[in-house]
Amino acid sequence: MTWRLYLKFLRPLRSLIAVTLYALMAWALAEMWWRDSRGEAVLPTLVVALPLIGGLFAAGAAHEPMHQRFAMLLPGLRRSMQAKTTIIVIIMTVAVTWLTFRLWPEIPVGASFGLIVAAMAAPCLGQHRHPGNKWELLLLVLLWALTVGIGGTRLSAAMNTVPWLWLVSGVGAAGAFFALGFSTEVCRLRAGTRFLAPQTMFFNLSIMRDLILERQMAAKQKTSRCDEMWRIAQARRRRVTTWDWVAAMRFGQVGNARQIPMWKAMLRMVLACIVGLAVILFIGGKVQGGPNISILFIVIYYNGLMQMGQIASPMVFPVSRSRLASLVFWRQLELMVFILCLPLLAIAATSWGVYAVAGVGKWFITPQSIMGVGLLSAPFFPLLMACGALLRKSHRVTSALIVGLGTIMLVSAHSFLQSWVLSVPGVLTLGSLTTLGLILLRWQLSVWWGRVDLSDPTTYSSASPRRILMETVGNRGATLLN
Amino acid sequence: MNSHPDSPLVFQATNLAKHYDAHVALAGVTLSLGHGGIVGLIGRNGAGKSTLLNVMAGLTLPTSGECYTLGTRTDLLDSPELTRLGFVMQEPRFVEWMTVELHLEFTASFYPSWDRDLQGRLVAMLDVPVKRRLGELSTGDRQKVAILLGMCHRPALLLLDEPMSSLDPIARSRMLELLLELMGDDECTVVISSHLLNDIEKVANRIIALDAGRVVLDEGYDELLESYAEWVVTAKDGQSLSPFTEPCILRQQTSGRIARLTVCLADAPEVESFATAHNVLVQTRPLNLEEIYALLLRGQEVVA
Amino acid sequence: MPPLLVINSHNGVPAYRQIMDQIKLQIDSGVLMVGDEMASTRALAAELQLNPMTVSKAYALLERDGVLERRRGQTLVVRQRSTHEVDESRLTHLRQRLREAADMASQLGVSRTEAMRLFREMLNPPKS
Repeated sequence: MTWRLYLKFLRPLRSLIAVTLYALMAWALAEMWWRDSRGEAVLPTLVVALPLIGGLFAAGAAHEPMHQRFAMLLPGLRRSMQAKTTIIVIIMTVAVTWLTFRLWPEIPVGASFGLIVAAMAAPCLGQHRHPGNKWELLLLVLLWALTVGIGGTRLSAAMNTVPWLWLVSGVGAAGAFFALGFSTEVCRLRAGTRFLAPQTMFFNLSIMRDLILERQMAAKQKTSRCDEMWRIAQARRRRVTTWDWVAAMRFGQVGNARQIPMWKAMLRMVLACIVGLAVILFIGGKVQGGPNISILFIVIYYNGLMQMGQIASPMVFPVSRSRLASLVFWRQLELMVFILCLPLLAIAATSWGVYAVAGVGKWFITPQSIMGVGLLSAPFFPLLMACGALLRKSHRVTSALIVGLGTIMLVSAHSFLQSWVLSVPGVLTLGSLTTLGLILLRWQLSVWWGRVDLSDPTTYSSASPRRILMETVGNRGATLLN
Repeated sequence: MNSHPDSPLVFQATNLAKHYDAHVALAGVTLSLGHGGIVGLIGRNGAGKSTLLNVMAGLTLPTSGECYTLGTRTDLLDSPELTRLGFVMQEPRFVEWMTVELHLEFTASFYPSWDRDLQGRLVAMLDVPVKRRLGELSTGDRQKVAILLGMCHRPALLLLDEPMSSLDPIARSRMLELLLELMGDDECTVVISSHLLNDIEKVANRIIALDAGRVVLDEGYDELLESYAEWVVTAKDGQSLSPFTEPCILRQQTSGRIARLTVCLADAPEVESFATAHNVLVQTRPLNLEEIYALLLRGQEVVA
Repeated sequence: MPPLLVINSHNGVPAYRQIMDQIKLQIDSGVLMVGDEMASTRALAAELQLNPMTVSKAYALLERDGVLERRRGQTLVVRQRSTHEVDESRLTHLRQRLREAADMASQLGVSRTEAMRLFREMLNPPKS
């Protein structure tokens, strides 16, 4: 494995951008906790968060070739990956240590080096047992959170007391992580499971087409009430309605016919909203109104779009195409309602919670703003889903619409539209736009499902805005960056 | 049990064509299938067999031409027809997180004619691991489950796309037994696309061959076998044989005093008259499906 | 009961023809007697692992050829044939084999007298 090939896996430019963005988000979250003193939040970010994220990407580059079935057959792959990852990690560590030294000359270099190198080497161990195993990731996040809680002052004090201990244990830990993470047993485990490389997740959607990965993940999935046997046969006594089919579809996706929201997706969204809030505070200071609203809108709008796909079971149901269209419509409507309401509630709750706990400004995002943003976003989901189906051949137009509309709303959200949104004409207009959007969506879904190729498993998500965005903007961006 | 012939044909296609951008998957396909019988769909890789089956099942819509499955246009297929249709796909798609048992239960709920006894028997016959999750199964086991899901509701039209390629020989022979049983009990029409000609020749009574998206053969299997033969010709008088020019001869290999001729019997003269005319001895040998397949599909010189 | 037939699905001879030929041979050689009941289409198909349509085709053609007949509406039985029919049928089996032998004799250049002597020897094996 030459350096050239390794760099192809590493995708340096893309990784750099991704690491910066994620590090900034980590910083914003830390800031949200330590609202007054900047130093408290910066140090943990620099010596723990940044190395962790950087290490994740560096390790990801090595893990991607190693999570292939043929990996154990390639001679010297393991050693080569180990060597290259170590070199990259050391380079990054030196860079970050230098930066830390520049900002805090009082912290001994050795101590910070030790901590940074350990943090950067830690992700080498990750995810070798199951694809999408969140526990290792969660552990790292908890450790980081702990460091944030401890705060910069206490951390630098600790590093000043026994710097040689930090250095020795840090380097020792890093060595152990490298040895373990690239050991033969672990590599053998890696070869048997698929992997989501952080670099690929950042932009493109090739993972969605990986049916083998989907299968592996599904096999490990824990479902609630899996023993609940689905019986639509009872329906012999009454006519089978669309609702029964929607329930069947839900069961196929979630494992429970009565469970309407997809809890994992909802949780992800709420977390994204919290991160968004942190960014709001970070950028907008603690000022009320202002850019806060725009950022809130972005969070709702794009988050919503990302969560929505053409929800249909990949298993072929014995229903007519028109019924399939109506099933998809109702399922999406369910999701749209939850996608809209839940984050708004989460933000409202967090906003009130931050006030209650930290005493920051009364409602730094007012309930009115939240409702306003909600109302404003409402028409766009169905309209854009309809566009996705309507313009499925011209993905460029749809992506332009998605990005363009978002930008327009972003710019105008906190200006004069604010007052208009919550007034009677505003509500009526938005309401009718939403209804129009829903009608358009319903019509387009019947056209789409009336003609689409049901034998292709990728059909089921191909008209979603998320996929369209990822495929056009994402792939273009990806090719530009690497 | 599950077929009521309200229309005389289970499938009818007129001038069917299917294009995928530049690639022509099917062109000018005209077919009709009646009730009962096992149709063997043969052809080389990429000939369009899977596409044809997908079109028949209504999963893929044709670019042009008309087709009707179970009396309805394929884009309008609804539950009354779909519950009488069974499709065993080459790459089956399931709800991966479910166990086999649960998935069977789930699918059974959609088909009023699901036969639980048959399901039980099939599970035993094919050795299906019912307690395991679908995401964990090997390719062969997945194929077995796909067969179960396609057959247990006793469809009137059963489409199978390479159903046995991943099965071990014992499972394959049981599968064939099963197909024949299904044939015997109900007026079921089976269309099976397979590369395993040995299996097709045991059960098929009609052969449809596709080549580059076109139907090059559509005949009863017995008639097909009886329309070709190989004649081994030896010179009686010890003279070298010169090439024969009869139009019925599709292929000939001559080596000195012996020649092998592949003959299309429809246009061929009687063996005796040929022998007398050329002063040769002729031994005839019938050709089996594999040889006819090679004859039809290797080159373009033969069209049935 | 199903007659013990052996069907080779791989040699290019259609299965129905193999069934017909073997049943005719069995009848002509006395294995199946006049009045014997034939197995039902389904039973024979299951035993031979063949498509039932093939078996019913064979039976239908045997009926048409006057070898089998239908009694009591459902069952097929071996039909009583005239002596002439029986003789013809027997000779047909032999004729096929003899043709092959004659061709081979011709190919090998064996004289007619030699060939006849050999055949006579075959028919009446000398007591050793």
